[in-house]
Amino acid sequence: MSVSERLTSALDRRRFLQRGGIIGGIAATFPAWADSYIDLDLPGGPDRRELTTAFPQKGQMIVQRTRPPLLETPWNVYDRSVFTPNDRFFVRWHWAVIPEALDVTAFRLAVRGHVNQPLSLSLPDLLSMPHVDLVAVCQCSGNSRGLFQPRVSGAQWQNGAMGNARWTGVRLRDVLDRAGVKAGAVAVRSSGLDNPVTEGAPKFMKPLDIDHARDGEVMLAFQMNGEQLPLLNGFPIRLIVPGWYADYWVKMLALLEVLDAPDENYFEKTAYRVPDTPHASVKPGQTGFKTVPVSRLVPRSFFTNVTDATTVKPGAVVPVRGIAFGGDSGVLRVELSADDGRSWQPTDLGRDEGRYSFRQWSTQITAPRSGALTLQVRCTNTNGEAQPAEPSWNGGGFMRNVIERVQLNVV
Amino acid sequence: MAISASAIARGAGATAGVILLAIAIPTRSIAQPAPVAESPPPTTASSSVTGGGVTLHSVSLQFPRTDHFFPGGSGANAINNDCLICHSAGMVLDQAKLSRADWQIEVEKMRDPFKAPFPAEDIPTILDYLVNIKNVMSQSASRQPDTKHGAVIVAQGTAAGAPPCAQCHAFNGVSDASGAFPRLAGQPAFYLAGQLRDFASGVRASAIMSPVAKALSLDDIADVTAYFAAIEAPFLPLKPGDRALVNRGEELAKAGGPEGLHCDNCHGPGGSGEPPVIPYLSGQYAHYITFTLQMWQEGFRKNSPDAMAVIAKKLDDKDILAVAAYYQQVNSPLKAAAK
Repeated sequence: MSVSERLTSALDRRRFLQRGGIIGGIAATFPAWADSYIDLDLPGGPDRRELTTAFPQKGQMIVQRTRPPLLETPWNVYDRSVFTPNDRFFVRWHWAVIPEALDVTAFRLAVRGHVNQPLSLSLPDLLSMPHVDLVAVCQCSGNSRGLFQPRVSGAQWQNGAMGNARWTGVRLRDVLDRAGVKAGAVAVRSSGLDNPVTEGAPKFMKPLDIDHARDGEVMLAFQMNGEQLPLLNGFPIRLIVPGWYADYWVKMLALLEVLDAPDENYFEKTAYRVPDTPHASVKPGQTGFKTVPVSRLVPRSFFTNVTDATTVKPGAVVPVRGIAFGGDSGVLRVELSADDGRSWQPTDLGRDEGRYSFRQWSTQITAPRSGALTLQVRCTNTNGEAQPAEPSWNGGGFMRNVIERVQLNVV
Repeated sequence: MAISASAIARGAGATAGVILLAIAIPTRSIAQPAPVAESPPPTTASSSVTGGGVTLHSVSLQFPRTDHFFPGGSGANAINNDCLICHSAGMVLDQAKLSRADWQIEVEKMRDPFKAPFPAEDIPTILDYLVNIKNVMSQSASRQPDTKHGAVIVAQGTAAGAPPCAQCHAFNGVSDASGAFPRLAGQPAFYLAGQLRDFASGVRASAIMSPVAKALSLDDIADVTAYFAAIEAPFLPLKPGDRALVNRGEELAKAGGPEGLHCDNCHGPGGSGEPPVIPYLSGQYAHYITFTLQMWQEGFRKNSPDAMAVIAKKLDDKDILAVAAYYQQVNSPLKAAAK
């Protein structure tokens, strides 16, 4: 076993609390199908979540909510590859009415609105169009919400509401061109087969500006890492919006509406909005600021083989690695600091899978003779944007991208 | 409607036969809650499409259900009844400590714009619960239900005067082919317990069940409902309903009427239920579904004023017969033959 594997397995032992002995007081809230529990280390808690393999087409996942499903990727998955396996890819649904069966011969994608020719496209229609593929990070805008301080309401994710995959599909532009977008179109609104339980509740929908929709990168994916998508990740087709947060990546995509006026639906006009301020940050309690929809991803980097629980020997040479992404552009550099951010040293970048992909970084650091070894990692993207040293804050718990820090124990 | 009184009389008269039926069914089993070792394999239908070197296969699967609810006894009744229709309890219980004002924003968002069907009068009760969640959680190491004691009540009744449930519902909770009494086997314990409490209080009025429920203690209710919830019982091979009626019922169940609201929205795909609050309808007796919808319409059942009472009033007599006929045959062993 390599040093890094030992570190990872120590991490697993610490974080994966076995079921026995702790269920008494919480039995009323955890289903029988939980395998074990994980501690997400959220400031102030509660941070215990069940781990389960009970969701179809998914491996072991952290349950944030059973219905509608919110499933988080366990952290050790990110150390294995820059590609997140389909069966470990995070899951997030807004409404509980989600089809549990889907007949590929009957499925149709409707294209309508401000177009010359409304379309009803079958899957064979889509599969017969030119294919494109692209590697891109899909990250929930509320990823890491549970780490906000002061804490905010919403899904209490740790850092696992993100994943990276190779997406294969057809360009949204090609689909729109088949319908013929009329002059005066301003946006394309996407919605899926999921529905609210109650009458009159707003259906989940997200729009893209018409030029963005036609940029040739936005695609309708029918494959993820070379396989059809798991149903919970949006089978049979999902919108891929490279460099943008996952709320735009509409799952089980069934309708494209070309609009001739700005979209005012609830999930664009009211929900998924952030302060129009640097780093989308305001002071807790602050009011009176302008808001804008969540949109472009911002750069992040993470440690994947060391945590606050990692122990190293005095003077040992410690391999340290992780993943980074540039957000709406590529990774320019990833740097490590062992002196509280006073100086930064470069790290080695792994294979470049494309500007929107996770990229592995790695380096080595020598542990001090005694005390703690505190490390920070910082990504700068090819637009020159670097992660901030101070955490941003907003009431929605969106867009966290502060420089990550770990404190290894030297004994 | 003719079915209510006459069917109940018929069912009550058939008590002896019901008990014999229960004894004659050897396949009753109590489900053991066991951790799932691996993901259930999706039943991939045989159909597929191919193009450009890519093949996609149809998928049919089932998401896991949870029958867990907000702990805390009667103080949690409002949050359980009002909130679990649309979402499970876990994410709410996992929030960091929030102020009453913060919770109020969340709860009001659920009513509008999210249209959760509960009355504004429930909001203070729900907020009381939410601001106190951490205390409730730490004190909720409550008594576990005793299914063996539940089985004794089902077979023998109670000293306080409750008759054996098996007289009408059969020892395995399948009741009987008259359809006068609902099938209880596998129904969520939380749902069943809520109904018993409502029978006792009169929120759900029933000449038969109200005195029975009043003769059960809260522990009796917990035990007997846990017993019925754990049973996996077979479905009776009932005579298939009229095909046109079943088809119309399926349409209402899956796609809804003119307003688009359909039964499966809340009751789950094929009416399979959404524990812990929403009962299954699949395999429930048509007579019982018909009777219950009429009770909603006529106001004898008052324990879902903002959802079922409203919905039932939108259905006409033919719609009611149709959805009832559809759900009865969903799990029938004769279903395939009827097609």
